[in-house]
Amino acid sequence: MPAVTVTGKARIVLGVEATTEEGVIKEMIRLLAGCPEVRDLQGLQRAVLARQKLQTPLLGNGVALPHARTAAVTEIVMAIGRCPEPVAFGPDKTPVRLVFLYGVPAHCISEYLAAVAQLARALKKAGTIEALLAAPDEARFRKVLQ
Amino acid sequence: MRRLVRLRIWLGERIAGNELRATLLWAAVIGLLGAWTSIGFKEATEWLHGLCTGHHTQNHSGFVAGFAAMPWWRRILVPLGGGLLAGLTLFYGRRIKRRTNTTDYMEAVVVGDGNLSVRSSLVKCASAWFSASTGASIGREGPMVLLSALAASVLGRWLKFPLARKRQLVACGAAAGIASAYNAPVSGAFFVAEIVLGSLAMEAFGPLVVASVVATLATRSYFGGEAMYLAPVFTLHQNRELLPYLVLGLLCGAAAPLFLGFLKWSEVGFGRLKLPDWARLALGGLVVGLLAAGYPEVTGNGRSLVFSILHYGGTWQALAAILVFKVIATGATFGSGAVGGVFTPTLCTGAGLGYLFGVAAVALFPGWHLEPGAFGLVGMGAFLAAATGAPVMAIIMLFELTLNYQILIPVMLASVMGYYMCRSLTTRSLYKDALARKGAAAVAQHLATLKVGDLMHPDTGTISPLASFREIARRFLTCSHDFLHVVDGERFVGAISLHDIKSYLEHPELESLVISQDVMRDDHPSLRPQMSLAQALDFFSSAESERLPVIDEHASFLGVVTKNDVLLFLAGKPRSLA
Repeated sequence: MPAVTVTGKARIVLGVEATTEEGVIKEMIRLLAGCPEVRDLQGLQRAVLARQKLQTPLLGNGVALPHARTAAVTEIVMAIGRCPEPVAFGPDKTPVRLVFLYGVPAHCISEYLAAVAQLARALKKAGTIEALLAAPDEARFRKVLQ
Repeated sequence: MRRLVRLRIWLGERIAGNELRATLLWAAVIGLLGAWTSIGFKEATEWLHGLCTGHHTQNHSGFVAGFAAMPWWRRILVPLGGGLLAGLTLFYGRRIKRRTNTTDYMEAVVVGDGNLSVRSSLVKCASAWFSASTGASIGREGPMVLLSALAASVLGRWLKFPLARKRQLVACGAAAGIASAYNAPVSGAFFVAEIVLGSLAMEAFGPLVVASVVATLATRSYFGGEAMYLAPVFTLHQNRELLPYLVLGLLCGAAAPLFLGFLKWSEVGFGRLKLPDWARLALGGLVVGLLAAGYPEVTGNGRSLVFSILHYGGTWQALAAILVFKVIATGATFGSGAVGGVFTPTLCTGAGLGYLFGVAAVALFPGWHLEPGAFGLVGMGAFLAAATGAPVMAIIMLFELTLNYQILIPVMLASVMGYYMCRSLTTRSLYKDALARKGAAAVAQHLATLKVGDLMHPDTGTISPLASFREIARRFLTCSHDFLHVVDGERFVGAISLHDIKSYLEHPELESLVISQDVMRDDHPSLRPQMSLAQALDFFSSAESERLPVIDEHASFLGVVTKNDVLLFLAGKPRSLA
């Protein structure tokens, strides 16, 4: 699945209510409820939280990319969240405002790397993160991402 | 026992390191062991021969004199009794055999795992001892080579040598045995290289040379360094004299298939009688005894007969009769299943054939100063080359047996002619017969019985599941593998394929985002140490990787096996360690 399609189909919440790392991840997972590609929502949650304990994927500039490869999904799924206030992520309590959560099927290694690499490159472009933080609504947010 | 274990550890630590250096050192050790076992076997046969015949040989000169000194009825009884004892040894020995390891050193080296069965080998050697000591027309080199190879196999197992080294050192044991038996270091190395290994590459040939040389030096220090067959002085007066030697070579090449065919026919014939071992070998001994009653020259391996042929003073008719009876005696001994070698009887047949041809040549070309004894010498080489299918070894052996350089040119010519003539008539040879029978069956057997654990070795391409993407990239750039095995502590959890990630190795943005666990394949195939090689090949045929992890029932990572490891082993080639 092309990376653009992944972000294009992502579920987005612009006002994450949770204030802890685990709470944010659980809230993102709930966004994916009802997705046909998600076979087991709880399984996905467990996998992401377990992965998060091994290493906290942080892109820098307040962006986190929690994810997991799991049989709980049949295709790459994404949930994107914007926190009104920074939330501490990882052992260093890095402040994070943008969370891009991935669920990746076990066999989609190349597709996963392609999606993550493209998203990371896009987010590294000057002004992208600021634009995402300032987007007034979901439509504008999606436009910045694409 | 503790001291032995400490000695073993001490030896293992001292010798560890460079594989070739270690192999050469152990080859020298095995050369010594081979010499001692050969000396021991020779002395044991001399002693038993003395006990049975009441005649002790002088300077280990052969058994014919002892038989000639006996009355006719004793000449029948001694081989008959020896055959009976040899047969009983085999008969009861088969009952105590437990393991399925081979007793054939050729099979152990070429298609096996370097393990020779100790019990079965000792039973065979004991049987050979009875046969050889009591006049059976068979060589002693067979059991001497087996004992030497057995010593190497036991040493290899005791010190837990890797498979390739064990096989190589069993080959060294065989070379040491031949070198000791014939006082011929070069022939020992060439025999094993040419016939058994089929390779003169230095990785294989070097250790054989070391083992042969050490064995020869040790044997000479005990028996002395004289040539085995002190030949008459030979001089090539004119080049035209090479023509009859060329013809002799062709004649030997034509006769060798008949000789081999006769041995085979005798074996089949005895087999059809469906006798138990003891009766079959006793019958073989009886045939030898009956022949020996009139012609004691037919007894023994033929060494003293060769000597007397080379310095013969009798009529050609008498020699022809002795030659025919000697071949029959050899056929009876070999066909009855007596354990021993056919090498020396083959040399003897060639010497007789060559001498008789020489008599004819002298009669046809009286002005050419030909010597029948010289034809006897050349006949030995040509017949041996044809029968064994190893002309290089035969040429070198003739030189080492006689230390007569002048004879080399006619021997080389006749041996090569004999070899080609024989090959044009038959594909059978003394040793390749046994290998051909066993070859395909042995490969199939070893595919089924040898285990992955026997070929497994440590892996240089493992990585932690928490390793960063940068670390993954660095490992792939520095190692030559297409897959990295992900090992969590001691557990194998998956493998990272270079193909999956190669397009992203230069992406710095992934460095902080991805770890090994994110990109590994957790359905990567793995082997178990108890799997057979046939099962391993099945896995390799469907796997993308040429290198598969070996894990136990708890998924503990034990090592790796490559497809090359399996294929090279089955092809009989030693594996070079990384």
